[in-house]
Amino acid sequence: MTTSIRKIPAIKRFLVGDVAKRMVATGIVILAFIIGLNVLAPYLTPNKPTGARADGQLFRPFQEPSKDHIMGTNDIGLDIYTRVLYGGRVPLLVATFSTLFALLLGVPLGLLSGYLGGFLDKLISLIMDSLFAFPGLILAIAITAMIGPSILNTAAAIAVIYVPVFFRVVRSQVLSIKELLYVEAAKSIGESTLSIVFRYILPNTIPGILVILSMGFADAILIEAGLSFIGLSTVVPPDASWGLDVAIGRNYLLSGSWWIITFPGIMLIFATLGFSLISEGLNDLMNPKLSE
Amino acid sequence: MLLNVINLKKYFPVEKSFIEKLITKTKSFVHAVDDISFSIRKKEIFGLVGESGCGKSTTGRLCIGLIEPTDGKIFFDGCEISSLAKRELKKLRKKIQMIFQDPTASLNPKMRIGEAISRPLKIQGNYSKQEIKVEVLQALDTVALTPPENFYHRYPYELSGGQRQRAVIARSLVLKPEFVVADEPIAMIDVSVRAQIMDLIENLRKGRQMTFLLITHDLASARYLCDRIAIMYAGKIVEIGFKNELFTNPQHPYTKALLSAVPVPDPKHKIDRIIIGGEVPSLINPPKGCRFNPRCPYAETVCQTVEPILDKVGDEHYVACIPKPFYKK
Amino acid sequence: MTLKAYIITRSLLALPMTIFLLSVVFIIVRILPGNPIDLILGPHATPEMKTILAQRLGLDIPIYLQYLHYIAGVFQGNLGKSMHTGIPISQEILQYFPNTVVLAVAAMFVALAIGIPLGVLASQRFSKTEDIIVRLFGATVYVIPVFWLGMILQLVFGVYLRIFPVAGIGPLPSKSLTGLYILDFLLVGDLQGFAKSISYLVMPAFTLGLIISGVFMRLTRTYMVETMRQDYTVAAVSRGLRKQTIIYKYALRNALLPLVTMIGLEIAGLLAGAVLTEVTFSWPGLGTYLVSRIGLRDYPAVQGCIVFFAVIVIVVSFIVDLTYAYLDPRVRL
Repeated sequence: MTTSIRKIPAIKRFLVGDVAKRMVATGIVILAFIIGLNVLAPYLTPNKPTGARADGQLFRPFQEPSKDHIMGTNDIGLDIYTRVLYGGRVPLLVATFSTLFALLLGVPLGLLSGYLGGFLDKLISLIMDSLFAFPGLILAIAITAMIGPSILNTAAAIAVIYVPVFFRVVRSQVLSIKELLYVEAAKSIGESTLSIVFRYILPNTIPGILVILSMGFADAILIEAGLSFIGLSTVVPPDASWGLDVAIGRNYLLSGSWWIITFPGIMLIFATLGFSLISEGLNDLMNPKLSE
Repeated sequence: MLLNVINLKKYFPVEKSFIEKLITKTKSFVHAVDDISFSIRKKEIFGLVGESGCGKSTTGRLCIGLIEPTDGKIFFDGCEISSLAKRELKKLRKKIQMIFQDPTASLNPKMRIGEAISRPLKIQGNYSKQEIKVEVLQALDTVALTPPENFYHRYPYELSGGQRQRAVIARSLVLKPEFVVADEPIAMIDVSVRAQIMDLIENLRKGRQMTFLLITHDLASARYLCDRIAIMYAGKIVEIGFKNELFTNPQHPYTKALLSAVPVPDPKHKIDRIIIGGEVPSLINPPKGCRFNPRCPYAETVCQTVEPILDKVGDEHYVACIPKPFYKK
Repeated sequence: MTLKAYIITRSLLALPMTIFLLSVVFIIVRILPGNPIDLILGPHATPEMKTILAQRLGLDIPIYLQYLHYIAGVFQGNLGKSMHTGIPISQEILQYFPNTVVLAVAAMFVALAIGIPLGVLASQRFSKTEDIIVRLFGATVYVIPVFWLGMILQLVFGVYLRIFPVAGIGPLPSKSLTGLYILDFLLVGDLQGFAKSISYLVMPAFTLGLIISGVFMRLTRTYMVETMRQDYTVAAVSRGLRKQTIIYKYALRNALLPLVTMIGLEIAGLLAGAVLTEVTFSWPGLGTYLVSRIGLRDYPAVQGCIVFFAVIVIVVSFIVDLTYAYLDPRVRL
């Protein structure tokens, strides 16, 4: 009786730990697959990155998926399979830059605000909370509409949304870590404030930062696609980008050209799923209690 | 005297919400340490004993300059700690170190043991990489984490509780300090390894001529290690004396009560137990007069109004009690 | 803290929040690179044309005065006039906004109707296959681009199966009483029109609701699992209470409080999702308005629209916090 009571939670814990690890692993495999497609694209298709023929000629437009064009062709006669292969470059670049910007701004601010406390902390927190409460996509739309879309501009607009997310997570972790004994012990051996923040606090916030980082990637891809959809596309046709291609396909929906939107959309979902699986899995591994 | 504590006070302000600040103007304070004085000799192990929340840990933190006193002075080897500038305080850290209660919590989980122990040396500067490594390995060896090379690259989670506490001690020894404040060094570790840590402290005192302020709630370990003991209650020292004197001839009712709670491994031993009722008083509004008076079975009316001061009752034996019910003339 | 004191503190917080967000909008529109005048007139404009437009937009005065005018205007409910139509922007917004409310409320219902039962199911089959499937479902709906899902539904149910209209809001009632057209249908007693407008509402509401349902599913599951492990639940089980009673009386009821907050917090996500959903389904709401005015380079309208979103967010978060403080006294501490 006693043994059975003790065994069940242990097995469950093992299972759950396993699920979390599997989630991270699946996410990594998906991402590796997508990045692999991008890198190997020249070997996977004879066409130009835009989806035109190698000699620059266009194909017949609106072709349904067939042996020649396994994902069909679009409105101006570009091969969708080729565009799907190359179309991840822009969203992934935008996502990388935006999370990087947000990380570089949000993490130091969170460290500073959380560690120093006081009036500065209250002020920064108020600003960050206000930004956080605002619908991210709408903010990104406003900024992008004003400064004009481009890889860096769009990335900056998305970064504005994610700065408060990094800030909040790092700050709340700092608030709990700075009360821990090892921080006091560090003070007792004479560590400077800077050293305490970077040697003792920052390393312990990294797991939390990683969770937000991969979530930020997922959101950035979605927002970049959303911006493309409403006409604030990072690139212009004939350059390929999944979000842009879905937006283009919308015009031909009524004629039933399902393939134009379907394949780039699936790639968007795939890429986002990869990042969010990593984020979820990491989160579970960090807080085994909540995920059990 | 190596350490002189004179009329030391530490009041912590009570945090209030924004609205409360608007409504009330009065500030309230936690009187964590309220006017205590004592001194510690070179090579002495001085015990500070009391229940949790009596201010003994705060006293320890004050003694190493980790927090600033509200009032009063602390002299270490003749220089006043609270008046020191940052740079001088850093120099002082070479001589004064602290060991904390929870070895697991007092090590950064993301820092290897070797790195953690080398930090005090790096902060002080003036050491080459080679010297640092040698010193760290030597410190590991002193605390019997052997072979030291094996422990150098490990993370705290790879060590047992007792090993961690020894690593913490090694960190406090690496600068070869003269004085160490040990805050409940054995409270959080397994009973089986407590004796080793206590022996380690005893050996350091003998071998390295070190001085210790041992903060503990455990009278038994204080009796084992200390030369002199001060008993703290609600931010005040109620009794100070040599270990044997204090254990055989306690004068304060609180000391008596604490002692009678210590189990004696002798079934024939009979003691007149003093069992005190009530609870530790609020340190925000401590009782008037003697802080112990609401719980004291010997309290007289005078105890409710007059605050007792430490009176000499024997050879270096002081007690802060007006009626002194156990005093034999 | 009393509820009254809490309301005061919270109100004091709302003001700087409002001013801050208004300033952010101002910075975005006026100070960031990308001058509205250049954006509107294009690269070939003469200096005279620029001066005239600057005067019309009130951009010819010093920037701090512009800022003060703008803040003062917002607090008086004056968002300026549209460059495209010449109509006051606040008037235009109030015309589109009710349609967004209808969509958002319907989507919220869908999200709760999908999310809560799935969350309960997952918590009851904790760590088993059903749980993992539900969690995977939650993770997947979160990552589907809302406009893509909308388009796929349009293709399947609108273009191929012809069950629901592809896009649009449908016919509007003969009289506008409350501003919310769907209520007006009922008030004027036009049941046919009501049914028809529902058929237009189904797909957009389902699209947006499904995307958001993942959040509620996850939350319900977490709180249910937590409550089922609490001592008082265990005690209830040991007293022999029926499982159904425990699930609904103890666990679900405990999950409701965080759900209420989550509904409030999700308003931001809902509004963002609504923008894309509206564009997808040509739904004449605030999102469609915003996007079309971006296309028309009607910058006063864009600014007004964003300001309006900001005000909505502040008001909603205020209401949510108060509700929460009322329901859970611990918040007020």
